[in-house]
Amino acid sequence: MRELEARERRLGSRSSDFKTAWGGLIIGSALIASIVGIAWSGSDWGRGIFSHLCHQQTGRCIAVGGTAMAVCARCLGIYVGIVVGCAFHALRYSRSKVSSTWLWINLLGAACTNGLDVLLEAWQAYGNLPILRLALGLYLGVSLALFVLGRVTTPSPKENNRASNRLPSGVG
Amino acid sequence: MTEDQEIVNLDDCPPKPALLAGAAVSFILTLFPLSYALCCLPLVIGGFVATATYIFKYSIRIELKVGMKLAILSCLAGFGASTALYDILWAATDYRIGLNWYVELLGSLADSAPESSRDQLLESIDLLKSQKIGLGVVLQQALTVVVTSGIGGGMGGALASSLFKKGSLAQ
Repeated sequence: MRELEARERRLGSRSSDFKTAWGGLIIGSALIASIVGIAWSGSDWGRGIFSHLCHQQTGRCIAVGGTAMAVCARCLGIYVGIVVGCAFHALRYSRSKVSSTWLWINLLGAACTNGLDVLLEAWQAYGNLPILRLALGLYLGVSLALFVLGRVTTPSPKENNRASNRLPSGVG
Repeated sequence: MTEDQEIVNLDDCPPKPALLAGAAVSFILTLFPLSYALCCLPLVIGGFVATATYIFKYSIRIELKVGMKLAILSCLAGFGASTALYDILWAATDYRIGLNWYVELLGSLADSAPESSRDQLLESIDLLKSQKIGLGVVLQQALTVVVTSGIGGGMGGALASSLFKKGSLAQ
């Protein structure tokens, strides 16, 4: 009985991970497609939608079809990274999970390198490097997706919710 | 944390206080044009605060979808309210919160920008100054609120619900 419950719990956990990863993959892909599409069409109205999501400084954005994208290179990297992280998690679905320690190290490493990049640029250690920002954003996005998906709280199997059939003591 | 711990009914944990906390943070952080420079971070923080408040208030751990939903809703409320206030002031008194600060910021960026992107920046400053409130602008802002809250709130909520995993599972 316990084996059955454990198996059910494992399957429930995998199913939940799998659905979340696929959801992130689909929504993230749609978001990236719309950002690229807006740049491709050169729509100012479309750029306006993302104006609160990013500073949109032309020099810090990657250009598509001669028009800068609606989000900067780092933001684009984060979104692409989240999609890649979700895809990676969905594909390695049947394999063993990555350890929590590794996920923490990876996420903190990504956050620190991005912070360091911002500081170094502010101190004028180097100039405007959109490719570096894209790469670091990608690293942060992948780390974030793997961290969240690797630590998903899974719903308990239905067996755990079922009330006990045993009568309270002293009854009957 | 074992999985055999007591399961808390989610209906016994009203989300209103957490929603209000997240919405208040989102409102304050998006009302001023700080959000332009910090990308989606203000909404990530707002969503994170909403979900974290919910988790700590009832000492529970929640599923990812619950945390994300709560965070997105609080960001929608907070950012929606700040946008409404911005528009009301704009329509009634022609005053736009933080516009001067933002124009100055763009101007300083244009000064230090390379020749190729300077013209585009100056053009966007002129466009921003000459913009009038209308149905198109309001529609654009409504879409901005939905898209931005979805992204920022979703990220903040997901992060909070995966970070804080102590307590009984609520479902």
